[in-house]
Amino acid sequence: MRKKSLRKALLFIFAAILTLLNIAPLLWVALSSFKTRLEIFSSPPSLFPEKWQVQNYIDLINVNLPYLLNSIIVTLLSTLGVLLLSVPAAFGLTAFTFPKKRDLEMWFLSGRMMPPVAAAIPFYLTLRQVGLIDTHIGLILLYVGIGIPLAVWLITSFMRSIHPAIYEAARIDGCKWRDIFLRITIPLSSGGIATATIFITIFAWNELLLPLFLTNRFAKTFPVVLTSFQGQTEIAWELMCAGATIQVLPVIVLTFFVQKYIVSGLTLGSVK
Amino acid sequence: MKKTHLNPLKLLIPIFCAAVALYSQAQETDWSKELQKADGKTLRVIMIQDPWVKGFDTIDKEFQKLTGAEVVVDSYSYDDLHQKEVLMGNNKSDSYDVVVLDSPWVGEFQQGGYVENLKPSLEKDAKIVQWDDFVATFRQVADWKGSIIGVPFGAYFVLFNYRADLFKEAGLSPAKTIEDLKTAAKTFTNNPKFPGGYGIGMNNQRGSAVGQAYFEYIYNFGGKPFASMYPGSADPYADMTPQFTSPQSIEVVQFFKDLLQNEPPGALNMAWDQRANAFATGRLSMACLWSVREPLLEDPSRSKVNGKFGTSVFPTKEGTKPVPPLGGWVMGINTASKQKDLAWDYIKWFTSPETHKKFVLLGGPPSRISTMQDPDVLKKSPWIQTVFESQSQTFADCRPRIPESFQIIDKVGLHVSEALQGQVSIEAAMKQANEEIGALLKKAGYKVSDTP
Amino acid sequence: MIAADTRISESEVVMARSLGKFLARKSDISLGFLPGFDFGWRRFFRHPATPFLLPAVIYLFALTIYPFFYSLGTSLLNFSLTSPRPPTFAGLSNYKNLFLDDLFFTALLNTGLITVASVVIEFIIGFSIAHLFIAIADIRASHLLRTVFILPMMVTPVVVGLLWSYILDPLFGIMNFLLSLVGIPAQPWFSDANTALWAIVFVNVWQWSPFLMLICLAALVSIPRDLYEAARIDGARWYQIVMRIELPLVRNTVLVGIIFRIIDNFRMFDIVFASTRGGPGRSTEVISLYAYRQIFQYFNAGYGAAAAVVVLLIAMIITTVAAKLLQSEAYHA
Repeated sequence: MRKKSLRKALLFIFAAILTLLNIAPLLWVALSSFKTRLEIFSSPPSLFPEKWQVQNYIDLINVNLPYLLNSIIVTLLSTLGVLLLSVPAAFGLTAFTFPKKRDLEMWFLSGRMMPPVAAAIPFYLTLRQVGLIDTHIGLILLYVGIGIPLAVWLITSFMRSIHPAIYEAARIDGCKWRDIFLRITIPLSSGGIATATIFITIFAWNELLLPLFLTNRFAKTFPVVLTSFQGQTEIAWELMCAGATIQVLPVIVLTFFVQKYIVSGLTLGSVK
Repeated sequence: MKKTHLNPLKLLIPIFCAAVALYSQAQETDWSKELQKADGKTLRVIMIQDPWVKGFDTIDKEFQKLTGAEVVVDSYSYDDLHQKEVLMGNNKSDSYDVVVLDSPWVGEFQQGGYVENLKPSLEKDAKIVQWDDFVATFRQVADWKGSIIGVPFGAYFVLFNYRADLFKEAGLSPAKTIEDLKTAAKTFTNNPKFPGGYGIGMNNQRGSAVGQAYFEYIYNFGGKPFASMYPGSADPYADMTPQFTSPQSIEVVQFFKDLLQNEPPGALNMAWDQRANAFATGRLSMACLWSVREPLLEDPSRSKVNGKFGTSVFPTKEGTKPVPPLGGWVMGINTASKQKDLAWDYIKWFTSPETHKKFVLLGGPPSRISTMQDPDVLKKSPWIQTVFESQSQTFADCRPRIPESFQIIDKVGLHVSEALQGQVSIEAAMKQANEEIGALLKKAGYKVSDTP
Repeated sequence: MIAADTRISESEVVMARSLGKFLARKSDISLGFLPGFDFGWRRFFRHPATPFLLPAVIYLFALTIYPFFYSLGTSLLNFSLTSPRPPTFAGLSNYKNLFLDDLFFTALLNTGLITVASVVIEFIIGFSIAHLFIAIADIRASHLLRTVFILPMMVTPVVVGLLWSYILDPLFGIMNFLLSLVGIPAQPWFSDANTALWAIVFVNVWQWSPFLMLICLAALVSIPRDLYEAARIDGARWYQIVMRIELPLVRNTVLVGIIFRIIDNFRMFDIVFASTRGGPGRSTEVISLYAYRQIFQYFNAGYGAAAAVVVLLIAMIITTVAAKLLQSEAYHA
C-alpha cells in the first residue's frame, strides 16, 4: 500500500514538472508583460521584472477595451450558435442509420479543410454585399460556420459510445426522438459536449484572419489588436505580451469551470 | 495647451508642444479660414503601426478643435495594412477616408484607381502645403504617371548607426565606405574589449527583409537591379532587364555572406526588430537602421545605448556616390470616400509645416527640409542632421514602385536567402532570380531583353 | 474479440444489414447499402433524423459552398487584384504553372513532413501523458494539473509563433541560455535551414500535444476496467496491453483527433509566418504560406486560389483515406 502511494506521489511530481515545463513559455509571456522592452531583451535573460510595469496593461486596456468586449460577445454568441446546430446534428449522425451517412459525416468534416487564406476573400465579398462588414452579426454568422465541423465531429465521437440498445429500449417504451435526445443523449454525452464547447470557444476566441479582414473599428476583436503590435520595423513586445496574457486569461477561467463536466461526462459515458 | 496624456515616456512633450505652439503662434496659419467646419463628422484614417502612431492622439485633438470633426485612426501592421487597403480599394469601400501608402505601393494604387490625384488640391492650397519644402526625392515617390497620389508626410531613411563610444575607443571613425564597415565589423567581433558583442547585424531573413536589404545596398556598390533603374535615370522603368547576375550584384550578396561571421548567432533569420533590439541592448557595434527607430534608441525603457550612439550617412563602396535608402509613407485620399473635402482639409493641415513640426517633436519622421533644420528639432533628435545629409542623395525608385514590386523583392529575398544559407552558390541563385523576375516582368508587359 | 478487420465492406455490410433490419422495423425505412439505392424525398422528410441534421447541414452548406466555388472559379482566371485589366479566363494554366513551380513542391513536401512528424510525436506524447494523468487521477490536484497542462493550445497561434521565435532566438532567447546552463551548446533553431523545420515541429508539438492528450484521455477512460484485469491475470506485459487492448479500442476517437490535427497542420500558417517566413532559404515553406503570399502579397488571386484548391483536394483525399480506416472499426462493440 505504501509503495503504491509513493509511486503515485512520484508520478504526480513528475506530472507537475512536465506541466510546469509545458507552460513555462506562457509564464514567460505573463512575466514579460510586466517588463520594459529593454528588460525583455536583456542578456542574460532576467526572470522577474525589476519594477512591475502595470502601465503596459493600463495603456493597452485604455485603448482596447471595446475590442475585448467585442471578442467576448462574438465568442459567446457564436459558441451558443454552434452548439444549437451541432448537438442535434451529432445526434442525427449517431442515433440513426440512413444511406450515405458516412458521406455526410465526411462532408461535415470537409468544412474545416478550407484553408482560411482561401475563404477570407469570398467571405469579404459576401458580407460586403449584405452590408455586414464590421458588424458583430457578420462575424458570428461566420464563426458558427467554422465551429460546426469540429463540434459535430467531437460530439459525434462521444455520442457514439452510447449503446444503441439504450435507444432501442427507449423507443420500445414509446419515447419520442425529441425526448430521447433531450433526456438521454445530452446527459450521457455531456462530457463530450463540454469538451467540444471548450474547443469551439477557444478557436472562436483566438480567431484572427476573419476579423482582420471583415472588421474595421466597430466589431474588431482582440486578436486583431494583438497582431497589430507586430510592425515591420518594430514589435511592441511588452504590449503584445500584456495582450496575450489578457487573451489567455478568460480561457483559463473557462477551462477550470468546464473541466469538472469533462470528468463526470467521461466516466458516465463508459456505462456498459 | 498643456495636455495630460498617459504617456510616461514623453514627459517633455507637452512642454515642448507648449513652447512650439507659443513660438509659432505668431506665424501660424489662420486655420479657421483654411479649414471648413465639419461638426459631428468623423474622419477615418488607416495608418501603419509604427512607433510614432501615438503622436496622432495628441495632434488630432487640435484638428477636432479647429473643425469639430473627430479623427479616428486605426493602425495595422505592414502586411495587414497593405491587404486591407487593397481590398478596400478593389471593392470601392469607404471604410476609411485617408489612407497611407508605402513607396513601393504607389504604382499599384494609382493603377488600381484606389487613391485620388491630389494635383488640383495641391495647386489650390500651394501656400499651405509648400510642396517644395518636402524632400525632393520623396515628392517624386508620390508622383506616378503624372498624378500625385499622396503627400509625403513620413520619409524614412536608412542611417548608419554606430556605437560612438566603442569606435572612439578603437580609434575608428564612423564607416563611410563598405571597406570601413567590414573592418569595423571584424574589429568588434570576438573583441575582448567588447565582450558578448558582435560587429554588425543585418536583415538576412528570407523574404522582404533580405530582399529589401539587397535593394538598399546594390546602388551603393555601383550596381543597378534593372537596366534602366539607377539614380539619375530619365525613366527608371524604361528597360527592366534584370541585372542580378552583374558583378556588382554578386558582390553585394558575397558581402552579405562574408559579414555573417561578424554577426550574432541567429543571423540568418534576423529581421528589422531583432536587429534593432540587438543594437539597442548593446550587442552590436553598428547597425544600419531605418530612421524611424532612432527615437526608440533614445528611450531608456527600450534602449541601453542612449547617448552612446551616433549616426552617419549610409556607407558606400569606395569611389561610389552614396545612395542612402529611402522609404516611408505618403498620405492619400480613398477614391471611394464620401468625405474627400474633409480628408483633404485634414491632410493639408496635418502635413503643413507647423503641424509637421509638432508631429516630429512627438517622434514622427521628418519629411520637410525646414523641419529637419529647425533648431528645436535638432536639439531633441541630433540624428536628424544625418537625415538631412542623406535626403539629397536618395533615389526615388530605389525600390521599384510598380505593382510587381512585392514579387520582385520577395523573389530576390528567396534566392539571396538560399545563397546565404549555402544551399546554392551565389551565381546560381542570382541566375535563377534573373530568370524568374525577367519572366515575371515580361509577362507584365515591361521591356525585358534576353541579354542583360 | 478485438480483431482488426481487413475486409472493410464485408463486416460493414453484415453489421449494417442487421442494424438496418432492426431500425427498419422501428421506423418504416428500408435500407440498402449498395449504389443505386433510391433515396426518395418523402422518406427524407419523414425520417426522424432530418430535423436534427437539417439546420446544421444547410448552414454549413451555405457557408462552405460559396468559398469553395469562388476559389474554384477564381483559380480558372488570370486575376490580379490590383490590376486594372479585368480578369481573363485562364483555364487550367494556373494549375499548370503551379505544378511547374518547384517552390510549390517544396512547400508540399515540407507541409507533409511537418504534418506527419507533428502528428506522430503529438500522439506519442499525448498518449503517454494521458496514461500519466490517469495513473494519478484520484489525486484531486491532478485535475488542476491537467487543466493547466492543456493551456498551450489555447494561445492564439500567431502569438505562439512570435513567442517562440523569441524564446528560440539564438541571441536573445531563453532556450539557448537554459541549455547553456546544462552544458548543451547553443542551437540555431530557426536560423539554420537544417534545423528550422524541426524547430517548427517542436513548437507545433508543444502547442497541440495537449489536444491529443485530452482525446486519448477521454478514450482511454472509457475502456472497461475488467479488460485490464483479464490481461493482467493472463500475465500480459505493458506493451502488449497497449498494442492489443488500448490502441484498438481508442482507435475511433483518437483517429478523429488525428484527422483534425492532420487537417490543421496542412493549413498551418501562423507559426511559420511569425517565425521564419518560409526560410532560411525555402526550408520551412509551407503551402498556406505559399497561397497567402500569392493572394495577399502578390495579389495574384487566381494563382493563389489554385494553390488553395490543391490544398483542399489533398486534405479531402487524406480525410477520405482516414475515414476508410475509421469505418473498418465503426461497428465494434
